[in-house]
Amino acid sequence: MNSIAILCTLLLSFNLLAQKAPIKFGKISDEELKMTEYEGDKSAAAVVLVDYGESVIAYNQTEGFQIEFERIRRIKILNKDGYDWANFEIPLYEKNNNDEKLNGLKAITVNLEGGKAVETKLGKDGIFEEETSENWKKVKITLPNVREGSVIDITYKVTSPYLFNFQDWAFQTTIPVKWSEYVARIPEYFEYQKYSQGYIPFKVNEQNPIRKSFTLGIKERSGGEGLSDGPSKTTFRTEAIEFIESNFRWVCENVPAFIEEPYMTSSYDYIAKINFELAQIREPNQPVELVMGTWENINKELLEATEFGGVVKRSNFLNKTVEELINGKSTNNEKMNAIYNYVKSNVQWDGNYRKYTDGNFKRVLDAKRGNSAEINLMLVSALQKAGLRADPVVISTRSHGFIRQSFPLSSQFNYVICAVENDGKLFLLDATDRSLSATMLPERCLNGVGFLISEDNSRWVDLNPSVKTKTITEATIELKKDAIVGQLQMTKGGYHGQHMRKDFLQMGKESYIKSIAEQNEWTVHSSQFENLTNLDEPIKEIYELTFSNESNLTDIIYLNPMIGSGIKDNPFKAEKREYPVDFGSPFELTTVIKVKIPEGYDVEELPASMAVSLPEKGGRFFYNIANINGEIALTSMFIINKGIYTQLEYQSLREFYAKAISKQEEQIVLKKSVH
Amino acid sequence: MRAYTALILFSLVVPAITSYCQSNYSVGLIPDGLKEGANVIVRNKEEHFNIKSKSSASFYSFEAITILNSKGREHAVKAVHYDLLTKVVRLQASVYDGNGKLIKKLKLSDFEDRSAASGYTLYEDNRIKIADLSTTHYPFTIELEYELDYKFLFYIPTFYPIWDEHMSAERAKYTLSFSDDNKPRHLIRNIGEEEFTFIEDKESQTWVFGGLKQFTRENNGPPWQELIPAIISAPTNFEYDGYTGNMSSWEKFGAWIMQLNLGRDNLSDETKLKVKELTKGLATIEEKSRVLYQFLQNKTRYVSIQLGIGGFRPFDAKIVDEVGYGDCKALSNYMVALLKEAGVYSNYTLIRAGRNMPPIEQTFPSTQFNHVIVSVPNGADTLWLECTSQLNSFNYLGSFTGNRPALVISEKGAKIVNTPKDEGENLVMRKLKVEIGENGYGTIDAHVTYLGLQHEKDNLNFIINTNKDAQKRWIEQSITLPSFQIKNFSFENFGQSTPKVIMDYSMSVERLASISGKRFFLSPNLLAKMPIKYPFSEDRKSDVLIQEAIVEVDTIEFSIPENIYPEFIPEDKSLSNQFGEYVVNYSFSEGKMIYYRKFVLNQGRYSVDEYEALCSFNKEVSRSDNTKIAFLTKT
Repeated sequence: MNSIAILCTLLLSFNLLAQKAPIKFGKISDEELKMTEYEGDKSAAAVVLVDYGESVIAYNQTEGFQIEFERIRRIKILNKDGYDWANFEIPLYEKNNNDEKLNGLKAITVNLEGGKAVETKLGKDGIFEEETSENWKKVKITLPNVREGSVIDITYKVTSPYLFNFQDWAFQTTIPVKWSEYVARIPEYFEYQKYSQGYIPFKVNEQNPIRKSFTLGIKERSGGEGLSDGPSKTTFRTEAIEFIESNFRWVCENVPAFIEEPYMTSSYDYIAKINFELAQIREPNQPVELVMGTWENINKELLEATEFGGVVKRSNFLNKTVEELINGKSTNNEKMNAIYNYVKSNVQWDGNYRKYTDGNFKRVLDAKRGNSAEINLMLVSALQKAGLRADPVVISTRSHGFIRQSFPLSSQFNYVICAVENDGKLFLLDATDRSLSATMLPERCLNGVGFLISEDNSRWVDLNPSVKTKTITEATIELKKDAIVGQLQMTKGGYHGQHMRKDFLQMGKESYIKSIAEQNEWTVHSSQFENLTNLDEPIKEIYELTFSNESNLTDIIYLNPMIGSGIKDNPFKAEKREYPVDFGSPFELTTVIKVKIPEGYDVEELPASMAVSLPEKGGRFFYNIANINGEIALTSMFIINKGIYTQLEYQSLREFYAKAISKQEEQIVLKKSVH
Repeated sequence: MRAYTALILFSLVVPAITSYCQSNYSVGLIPDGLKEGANVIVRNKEEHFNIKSKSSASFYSFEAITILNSKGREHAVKAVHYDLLTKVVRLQASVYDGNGKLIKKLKLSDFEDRSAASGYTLYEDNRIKIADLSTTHYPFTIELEYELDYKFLFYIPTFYPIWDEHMSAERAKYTLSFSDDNKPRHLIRNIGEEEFTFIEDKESQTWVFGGLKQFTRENNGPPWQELIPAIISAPTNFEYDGYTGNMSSWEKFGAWIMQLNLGRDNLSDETKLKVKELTKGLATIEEKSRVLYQFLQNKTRYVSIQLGIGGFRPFDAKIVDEVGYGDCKALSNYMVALLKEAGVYSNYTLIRAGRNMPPIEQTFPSTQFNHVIVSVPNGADTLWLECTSQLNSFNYLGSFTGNRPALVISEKGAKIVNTPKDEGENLVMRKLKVEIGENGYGTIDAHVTYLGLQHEKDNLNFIINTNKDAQKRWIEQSITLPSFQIKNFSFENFGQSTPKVIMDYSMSVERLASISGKRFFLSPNLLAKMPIKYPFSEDRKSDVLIQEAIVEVDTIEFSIPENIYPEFIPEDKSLSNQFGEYVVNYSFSEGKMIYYRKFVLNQGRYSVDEYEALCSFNKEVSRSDNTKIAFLTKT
């Protein structure tokens, strides 16, 4: 080799032809100062008039490529309830003294006083810095002189050496936003995957390539390599290089305030937002660096990552334990359960949602505590040692938001579970929750799909619950002279069973019975529980009860035969629904009740039987009641068939609940026989 | 330099305790009597607060607790608080299994360090070092040892040999050490004299406990303050961030606060002028206070910033003038300055704020407050101003600061004064007009009045000042009917001393009555069903407290379809006892039925003997509230 060209400096001369911000700091119009309410939402306490952000990747001689994020935001405070919007936080990432830097922070409050605009600038005494956690700090500011009618401008710039931390942009927040605009200028050397989410359409969504150039300084050294070349020589030259910069621009206008509703996964899933993930780096004269590309890449990366695939492959210390555990077990199913139970009972989940391990398995097992990755990767590793086909599955928990399959981003995942293939069937396991059997995932995991990581068969797998969640209430009721007595049996499967087990364990038997008796105003004479520890079977509670000691065998008796079971309150009281309803998993409530008609009484009237369904088999409710040989027999079922209902289905869901509740409130009428 | 020497000398007094590591934490050694009913056993606890001088102290803490079952799990999370003036000198922890075998050890750097700022605070310097020491197999034992160095002397951590229900203690020891002139005071609460040995000499006091049995807190029972054993201590002479004082009396403590606030009531010329302008022509203290309170509410907002002495001392009024924000101290101090400018004398007043907070120990002067308000002497009366809310009614304290002792600071000396109890009733009055159609559908027109503390119900006092959507959601959530549509509504807020909210709304209701065959069932109590709040329990051991009085008066006028007539009408009811009153009656006339209900619950404390009667009163009310009227269709 004769000469080596070394790329030493990249003199990028970006012409800073910044996209024009729609407002200028501190230049507030009369109209903005005078406004007293926001046309788009007259109930708003404050409104974001403009939020403008611009992220540019620029080159700096000493630091290399950096992201420069600049923002200007104008807020109108309409009433006192909006005062919180005068406080603001800027999170900054820091690691090994290489911090994201905040500069150019300016803020101003403008009030209209006697027809004149009066400005108050943010002073040093309104700025605070807080070390929030190991890698994050927050700069907190509070604006001076904020009143009803104030307009607040804030502008700042964050320079980040962390190219993976390209600022996402939320177009929506808890107050309305009149104009939100984000501009991203990215040279062709960097590729980011972008995805937008939410229920707000873009007003502008454009991408323009712009031809730009920069000067590259090149240092060349020749000779000095072999014996015949003589002394080395260094020469400098420059080279003009053209490149393409992509200018992206997104605008949302008149964005309504985001208001949280019951039965939502995570508010992050619903707000209008655009997200960025670094995909690849292709610097000139450098090999392409794939940061992210395809799901296949993510699969490969995870397999190779020390804190993921690495720990699964390389851990030897479990060998002996596994051998002991599977000793004498003949079927794969027995082996799976033995190992699952071992991990579950020997390592306690520390409550952290992780997809990577922090420590090695030995440390985790010694400490008897671990995060979701440590526990479930240990499970995968142990199952593999036992000769089972086990693989990790990365997922996004409900609180972390939906998975978007069209965007191969590993940041979409925050948690790991374990998949076992046995007799052509796939079992999903999570050993973090002791109140669940091997076949059930914790409810936090029920979030669509997960990605199975494997050397030869990586793929998407459904996270649907494998066990039906249902409660069956069966009772026999007898009306006596001074009391209503009977027997009651409740069988709870799936997540209903889990909730009951958790309550029972938490309270202990005595308190549990006491609380259930108090809630329903029952007197419990005897109780019996089945399958409390056998997690594979539905749990059963059986009681001998006095339902009520106020029975009057008067001429006419009115009685609600549901005796407190069934649905009591409609969770969907709000008339409107903006976002989907997410129950997590389907469920069923069945009630089977027999009422013995007391001697000397006839059935005067029974509620009419009824059946209603939700469209497209979304759910079903029926109520059947009849007098059969001196016994009133009631069967009622309430079935929710889907985990998720769209906002368009909301009205029918609300009505479905209302109908079921009303029906279940109806009474039977008994009358003394006339002789 | 002398202080430095003293510091070294006194630090020798702190005993070097490392021998505990040899202790045997095997669970088998716990006496059975202590295990009964317990989730956590304090195996050994030792605290030593050493007053080095009137401006410095050190604190040593050692704690070994065995967590018997998952119900005690939360106690395995350990946090140590510190700030700019409090240094963590050392901190370590160990975890042992049920046999007393060491499982793991944590050193200072294994603890997570984070800000302890609470959600409502913008900035404060409090930080914590925290670690979760729990493990999978119960029982296990955790051991925590740490030492703090205080560059001030102001408060002394309260000593609790046990600090939760279902917790027993094998051994606990508390030592206070001091030099002659810095002897602290102490107050022993909920501990019988036979439960400890007390050792005292010239420079120390020590309490040793052996075998403290667990207790259980019951629903609606006495507050924690009456249950948890505690030794509360406070210094006599003290110094905080360079400010010296003495807290042997409220008067002296107040003088220290006065000293901190001294000269911090400067206002800008502009504001002075404004005050003059606003109060011009106003004759009474009340008028002036009202107008200036309104000025404060419009000019300022609450922002909490706590730094060093700033935790006790307000910003100068001038700063509030400039920036328009402050915390309770700054805003109260500003209010006092505004009033002073108008020639109205007022007092900066310390208080322990919060709904149903236990009262302060009035006989034990020490730092027991968390909030500041302003009191304005007004002849025989006093006006009370809550300065952190922009929406509060003038002279209204409510459940946050009303009806409790407060420390009023003045040049003449500080003294404890009680804030007023609301004179008016905490009343909800509902007047409903209901039309029921033959199909069971109906409409409701409601006119509801909330008085007194009831206007704070589910944050109603805030909701009335927010937006229409939030108000509508509030109404929707307050209604228990399964399906309804609100057609229109309005709120009216009467911001007076006895606050009042009037709410009008109308709605259509599907299935107001349920029809089965020829019968028509109607639950006349549409909006105010009393739940079972006091369930009967045979083994009730402690008194029952009804914290807040309530009066509900409902008059519901139903228009009944012509084609039906009542088959069954529940009996009228009239109950009255020490707990309250309950009256229900039904009257019929020309296609109308009027349901009248009055429910009164008296605030009070009732003995165990009265418990059963309270439960049955509750049950009877609840049952009556849930009754249905049966109508028959005319044929």
